Amino acid sequence: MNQNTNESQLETFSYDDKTVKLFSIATLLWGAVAMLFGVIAAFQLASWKVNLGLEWVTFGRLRPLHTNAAIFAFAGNAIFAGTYYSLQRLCKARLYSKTLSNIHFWGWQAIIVSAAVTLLSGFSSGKEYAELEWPIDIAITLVWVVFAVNFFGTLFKRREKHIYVAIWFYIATIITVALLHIVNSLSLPVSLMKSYSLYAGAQDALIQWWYGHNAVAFFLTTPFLGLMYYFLPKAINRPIYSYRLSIVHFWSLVFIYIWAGPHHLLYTALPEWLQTVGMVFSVSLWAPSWGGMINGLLTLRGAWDRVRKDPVLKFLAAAVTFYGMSTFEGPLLAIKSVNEIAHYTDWIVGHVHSGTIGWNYFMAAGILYYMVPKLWNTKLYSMALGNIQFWVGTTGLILYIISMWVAGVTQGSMWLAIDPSTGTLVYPDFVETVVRIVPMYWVRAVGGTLVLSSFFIMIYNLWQTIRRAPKSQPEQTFQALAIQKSHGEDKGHRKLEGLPMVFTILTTLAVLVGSAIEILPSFIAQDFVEKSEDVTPYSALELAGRDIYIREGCYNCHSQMIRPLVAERLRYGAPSAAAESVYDHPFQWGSRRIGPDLARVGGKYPHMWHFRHMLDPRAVVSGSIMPTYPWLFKKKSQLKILPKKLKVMKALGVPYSEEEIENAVVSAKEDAEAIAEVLAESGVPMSIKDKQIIPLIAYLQRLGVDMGETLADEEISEAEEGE
Amino acid sequence: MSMKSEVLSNFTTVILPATGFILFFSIFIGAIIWVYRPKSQTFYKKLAKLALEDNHND
Repeated sequence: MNQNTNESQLETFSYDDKTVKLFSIATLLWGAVAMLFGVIAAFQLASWKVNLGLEWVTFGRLRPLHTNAAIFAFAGNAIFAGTYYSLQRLCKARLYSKTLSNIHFWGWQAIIVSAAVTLLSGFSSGKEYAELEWPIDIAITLVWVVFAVNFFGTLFKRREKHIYVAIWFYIATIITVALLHIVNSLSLPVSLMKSYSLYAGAQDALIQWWYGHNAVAFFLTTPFLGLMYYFLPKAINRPIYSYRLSIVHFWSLVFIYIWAGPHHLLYTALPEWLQTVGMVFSVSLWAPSWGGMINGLLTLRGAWDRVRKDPVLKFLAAAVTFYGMSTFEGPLLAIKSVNEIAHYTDWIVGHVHSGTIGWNYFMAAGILYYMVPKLWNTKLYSMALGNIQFWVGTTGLILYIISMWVAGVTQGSMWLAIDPSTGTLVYPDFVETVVRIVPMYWVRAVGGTLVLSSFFIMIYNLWQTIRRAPKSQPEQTFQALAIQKSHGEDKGHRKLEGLPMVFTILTTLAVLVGSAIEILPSFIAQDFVEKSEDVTPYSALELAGRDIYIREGCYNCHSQMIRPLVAERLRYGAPSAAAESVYDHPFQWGSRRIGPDLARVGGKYPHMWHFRHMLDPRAVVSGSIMPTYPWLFKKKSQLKILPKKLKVMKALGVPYSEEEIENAVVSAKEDAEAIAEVLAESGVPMSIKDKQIIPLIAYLQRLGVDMGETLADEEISEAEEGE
Repeated sequence: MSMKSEVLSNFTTVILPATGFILFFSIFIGAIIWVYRPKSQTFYKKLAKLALEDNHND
């Protein structure tokens, strides 16, 4: 270091902690809201009555709100609070712009409120964790850019030349989340609150899970790892165990993570080479993930006595441990043979919550317990309450994880069970496999309630802390030398760390490699999806029904993807082909089977069955946990907008003729009348014909019909050839 | 024929993934060697302390 600097180069500065305080309070508020919605949803699965028969709180709409709130509202605000706190201190600089900070904070909160209102009202794009409609997507992009400008602005006026490893993780987050959000959300609007994804079927699935998986990677993992690299050393007052390991950790994690998305689509109609690539890179993730975990835990070596007493360290240590556990479980679940049992079951739900509660909530708790007393210039109200919170939360989480393991393995095994003597399913009625795990849903709901209670303890503890803080809070000032302009003395990675622009570009390249290799073939290769002439676009009425299916969030409980497994062939019919969903903007393959797969439900039951089922599922399926949908029988179908919908679909490449578009309303009315006439035979009044249940029945009766017979015939001829 | 064997039998550009693998793997190994050079130890120790020296009145 250059020691011959004189006093005149010392600059005085202070930190913008007001912004950090605002984000901290928002973290507490939205964390409680997100977990409360989660607990309600958990009870809805234990007892369908908790759906209350109200459209805006029924599971299909509440679950997306819970996931979006947990990820973007709770974790999002925690990231912003922790990032802004650590960034300023690591840069020895005040946040770049007060105005941008305000726009960032209030803009993000406005997005959260509009998300809550629109998701509960049924405005949904139908893509998991990306359900928000296009105007909100644009708002997210704009606020994210504000965050980025504020972040890089601070970085550029820093007084510390070297960019500490935590900041690299923040940079990777900002770049990659922007990339993922923009690419996955591209859509053509039909109206102010309705749009269709630019992509369809297998391509949409690929891009959605590239996004979905990396929302976990770059929203719930990299920013929190950055926070770990800052707050863990701070809390224990010693440097990270190995700074070198953190460099290797960063680059390998960023490079490998982006490839892993297709593990959400194992055994689906996604091209198999992509499934294999996704699996291999997921298994590779074991190394960097555990590298990071070990680095965190070894930082605590020799200080475990303090972990016992201090809630900050307790939460951080537990968070890193849960990070290790869930990043062990993730690659395990990505192995095809394990995935065969686990996919579509609660095992995945348990896995996700060991990450979001064990890692994200506990990290946020540790960080808040560290920051809040410092920000308000006071002491924590109660260490004891912090410790009680820890044990209540941990107990709840363990109940949650174990009940979901049991439920997942039980249900997955029951689905696959075949009686070897007869070659038939041991549990042919899907509902048998549901009834069996309902007790586990009660255990999970209790576990979730404990987690929520623990969060309220923290809110109380921190509220009492803030209340007792001194009323006058003058801003502290600090002094540091201005940054040296020349980087000439540094070489290699050291120089890189001093060059935020170059560093950002290299990080971008690291995430682009995997993205390009996996996604570009779906745009370029003609045979990415084998097309079939049997598959034709949905009729106007079916399309209207499909939008109701998306609005009610049916995909939250029902998949539309039959895997090429014997048990699934027996239960659902011929495995789904990619050709079957080429006109599905967006795809509706789903990720969970709380109810059975619907890929070939078309024609399986009469219209009247669906009618009764949607009105009262238990009237036709004893023991069903599905909510009732009484509003579908009262609300009128919206057919007027159909020509516009078909037009947008045509623009996206669905081959509707001009005539079909012009006659959309007339043909939809005719089709609706035909279905109503069949229902009338069972005594349903004809006035049902313009209600929303009719298009939904039309859509359900179409599912899997086009290729169902062809695929079954092909199977038979292949089997005969084999003999 | 399963899709995997079909794809594999039609896949002629083995050179691409092989090059990719060699390229990325050597970058990885090279980076590890670079990062763990004994000479750089003191420097990284200094960097690791950055997190601790930020707040002047701690």
